[in-house]
Amino acid sequence: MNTASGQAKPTYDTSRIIGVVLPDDGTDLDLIRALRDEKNVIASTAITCRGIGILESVGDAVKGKLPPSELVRLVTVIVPDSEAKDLFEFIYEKANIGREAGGGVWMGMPISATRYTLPSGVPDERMRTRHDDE
Amino acid sequence: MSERNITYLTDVYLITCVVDHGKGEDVVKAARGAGAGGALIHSGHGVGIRERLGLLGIAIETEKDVVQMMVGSEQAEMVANLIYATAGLDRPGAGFIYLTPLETVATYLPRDIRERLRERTA
Repeated sequence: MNTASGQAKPTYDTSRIIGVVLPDDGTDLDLIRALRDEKNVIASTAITCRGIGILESVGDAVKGKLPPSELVRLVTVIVPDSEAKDLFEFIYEKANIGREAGGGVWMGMPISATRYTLPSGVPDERMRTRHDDE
Repeated sequence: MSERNITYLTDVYLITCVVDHGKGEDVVKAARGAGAGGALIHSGHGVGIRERLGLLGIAIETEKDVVQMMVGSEQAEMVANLIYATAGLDRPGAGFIYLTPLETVATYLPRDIRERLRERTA
């Protein structure tokens, strides 16, 4: 949208932010692909983090030191408010969060976010899969 | 979709703390001392007060540690206060901390914790 001065003005939608912590086993790429292909959600990012787990730390921690950290991926997705609950459950199922050491998923309160769109007529780029490195 | 029986956790805050590179582990240690559990640490580049201190206007890129952790609402303020004191966030340029209320959290819960939660909510 443009204002009278010609400067682009954002349009904000009521949205939710969903964060997903996943093991570094390629699940993040599978999840992002599934969100794009099955739910048409394209506003997602993935970053690499050092994760310090809750459960493993209890017995293994040396006093005064942190338990060893492991590589994890943090996927952040912005979703429309109306679809948030459905997408939260979709992510839980697709990323298999319910398994041991499967990570976790959280959803924030409603936020305002601009809608992310892609130019039309541009073919989808092939996404990497967890099998590409094998 | 919900056949798997997801356990939803509520009253949770996401604490995010941005500190100098290398200080992230100290933040996590302090938080764990106050009862927080797991944490994520990742790197980021800040452009803040130190940029103005660059020689002849040359910007100094500041590498930061970003620490994120989820804690229960009843613990959140205590954990945040402890992090604030431990990381010396009252010093200019040391970093900052913010709390984000979360609506829902879901993760793997061992059977005994699930049962304890069920007993508490029953």
